[in-house]
Formats: sequence, structure tokens, C-alpha cells
Amino acid sequence: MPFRLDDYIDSDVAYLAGLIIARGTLEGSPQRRLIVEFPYSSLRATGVALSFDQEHSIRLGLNDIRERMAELLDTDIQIVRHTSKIDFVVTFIRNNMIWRNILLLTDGATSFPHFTVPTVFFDPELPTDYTLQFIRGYGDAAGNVRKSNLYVDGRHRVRLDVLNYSTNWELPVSICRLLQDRLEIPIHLISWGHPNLGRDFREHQINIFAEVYLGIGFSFDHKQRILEELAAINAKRVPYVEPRPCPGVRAAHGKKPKNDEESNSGRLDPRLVGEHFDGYWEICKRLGCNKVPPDDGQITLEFVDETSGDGEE
Amino acid sequence: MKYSSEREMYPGVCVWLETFLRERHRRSEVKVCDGSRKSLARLITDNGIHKRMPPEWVSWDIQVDVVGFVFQKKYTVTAFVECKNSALTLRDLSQLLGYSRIALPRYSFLISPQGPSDSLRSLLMSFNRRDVLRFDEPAGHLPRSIVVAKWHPPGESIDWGTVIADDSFRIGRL
Repeated sequence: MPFRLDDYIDSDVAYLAGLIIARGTLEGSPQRRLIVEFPYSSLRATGVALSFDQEHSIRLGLNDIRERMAELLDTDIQIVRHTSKIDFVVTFIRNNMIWRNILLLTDGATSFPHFTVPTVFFDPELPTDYTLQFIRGYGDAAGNVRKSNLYVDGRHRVRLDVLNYSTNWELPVSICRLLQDRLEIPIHLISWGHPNLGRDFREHQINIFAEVYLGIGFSFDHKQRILEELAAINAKRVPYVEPRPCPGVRAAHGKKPKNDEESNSGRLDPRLVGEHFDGYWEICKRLGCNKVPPDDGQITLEFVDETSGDGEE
Repeated sequence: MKYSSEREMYPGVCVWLETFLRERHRRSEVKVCDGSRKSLARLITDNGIHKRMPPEWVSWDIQVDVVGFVFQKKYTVTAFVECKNSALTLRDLSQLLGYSRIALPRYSFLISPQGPSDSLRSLLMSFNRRDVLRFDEPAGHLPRSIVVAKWHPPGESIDWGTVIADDSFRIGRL
């Protein structure tokens, strides 16, 4: 192959990496285990007309994923039910190449608060379908599609969640770069779990319009069917609007009130401590987004700031 | 999203195959054609790409839906995609196996939005007969196998989670 990478990667490995970075934990003892959590906060997954039993649907979908991963990992995989999540548990008997390769992908980190996007996915030589599989894996574990995630104009969106820890604030920006720069999938906005933006320290949410996310899709049948339903509604509801990528800078929408939690060094990335932000993109910039609009017209494109908390669940 | 005919799939499959080949052969020129209306030999003649083809190319009186060519220094690599707008059957597989045995492409895909039929899936997975997908066994190398997969219309790509082939390692590095 023409590309040279640090270690083995293919579409299945990329998919597994997505699952791990989203909700994975690597335990070294007493037994080497990889645990990926598939949480469900409500009993039913609902679209507009569609509705599915979450637990049942996740368990069904996990069987297909288990089949795919069994071929890759050649080891014991269990599906363990809990009250509000299902664990996908992979056990490794030895410190084999697969286990070492996973640790190489996570750069030695062992739990999702500490994971970043593996550098291999930014390699320009890497086929884009591997990157797409990484995002699909991420979305299968940490993506939500439901009718309540509406933009103010009535369009439905998919949300990729990043749980809020002081150690992983850069992850949403990295995922955004992968989507926009590598896959040309436009991001609508990132709803940061930051006190200035009205969401305290709740999870960060990467919002993508449903019709755009169809290009990635879900491996879970219930999520995929809801996605297709909501994408079709978007096409009817706002037929002439083509989602545009986040330009990197937006027009200011007034000042946000000061908040004592702006200095909470226990919850914030060091680059954000003591700083005040009036727009989501200002946080992105501080965390490494280097995107700039090609012209000022991009900045003033119609955009409604939802970060006061309005319009969110 | 559904296709009203198989032909509707071709433009999207052409774009996907071109990207697939370009990203795996970055230093070579790539050309992808809709081959559904003429024989492979005619396609090669009409496009003037017979150099670095094996001498028997003139005999390739077969029609493959989408064909890709990667022009390398010493030889031309070919890729086949056979598209169906219904569940894939043993008959579909047999057709592409025949074509692949003749022209020995580097890649050979059998795709449909519905994926394999129950009987084909059963043969390949339940009875573990993925050996029937092999079409070439080059000396000193792993065999080359047909890739059976679901086509993902919204993403205009094969659904990598559904891939079935004889040798996973080879698929992995596809």
C-alpha cells in the first residue's frame, strides 16, 4: 500500500477506535478488558412517527457489532445489561498485538475522559472511508438522533456527545476537524458544556443536520431509521437550505453574563480558565480550531445563537 | 432512499470506486467507467487503455457494471463492481466469479442496497463457505476474493460493517 502508518489500520479497526474513543475503558487488571458503554437515558427512542424500545434495539444491534468485532478481535465478547446502559465487554487473555495496537491508538490512555482522536485519522494518506468508519463508531456509541433536537428553523439534527471532563475539551474540536476538513461533512455548531453558554458543565454536543449525517449513518437499525425519517422531514420542511460548514467565526450575538464558574480549574481546560466567552466558536478557537472564514460574508450568514439554553432539551 | 432501477446506482458507484482507488493508489492515474453497455474489451479499446494490459484482454467479452483502471508503471490494475437492485443471489455471485476468473481484477465487489439474500448469506456465513468467493490464488500471496457487501445509498458507499469476503486480512487492507 502507498501509505505508511504507525500500525495496522483498516475500516474495522477504525470503527472499533470510534467506539473506544466515544465510551471505551481499557482495564489492565485483574484481566485485560475493553468495555464500551452504550447508554440509554430513556426507555424509548423516538422519531416523529417512529418509536423503538431502546434497550431491546441496542441489544439487537450489538449482536451485529459483536459479529463484526469477533472477526477482528478473535476473543470473548460479552453483552452485559445494566439499568441505563449496556456494556460491550471484550476480554483479552494475553498482552497480544491487538491489545497493543489498541493502546497505540489511544496513545496509552485508558478511559474516555482522557482519549483524543488518534493521530492516524489526520494522516492525509489515510483513505477517507476509514475516517468515516471512525465517526460511525463514535456515533453508534455516543450519538443521538431524536425529534427534540431541533434548530430554530425546524430542522432536525444529530448530536455527537462528548462527556464533560477537564481533560477532554479538545476532543469536540478534533472531531469537528475530522468531519469538516477530512470528510467534508458540515457541522452546524458545538454546544459547549460551559457556564457562559447556559449549559453549566453538561456534556458537549456536536450538532449536525440529519440529512448531512445520512452520509455517515448508524449501524443500529433503530437509529438509522429515525435518522432517515428526520432527514426526510428536513427536506420537506426547509427544502431550499443546504447546510453549510461552520465558518470558524460567527457574528456576535451580544454579551453573555459573567459567571463565577469561568475560573473553575477543576472542570475547565487550562486554556479556558479565567476566560469569558460570548460565542461557541470563541471556545473552539481557544482549543485549537484554526478555521477562518474565506470572506466576511460567511461570518454574517444567518445564524441563530441557541447557547442561552433556548431551543435545547 | 430507494433506486427504481439498477442503472440509477451507477453514477454513485462510479464516484465511490474512483475515490476508493485514488486513495489507495495515490501516485497512479485512475479511470472509472460505466461498463454496463459494452464489453470490457470494447471499453478498453474505446478508451485507448490497452497498454500494460495482459495480452488476452481482446477476448474479454464480458460486461461489468462499473470498471476501474489504475495505470501503474508496469501494469494496469483493474477493479470490478457488479451492482444489483435486489438481494444478492448465488446466481449474481456466480456471474461475477466467472468474470473475475477471466480478467483477474485486483478488486471485485458484488453490492446491493439489500445485501446478500438469505441463501447466499447462509452459504457464506452459516456453512462457512467463504472459499467460494476466491477467484485468484497468486503464488506466495493470500488469495483474492470477491467482496460481498451492502451498498449504503445515503452515503453512496459500501457499508463496511456488512463486508463478507474470504480473507479478512486482505479486506482489512483494501
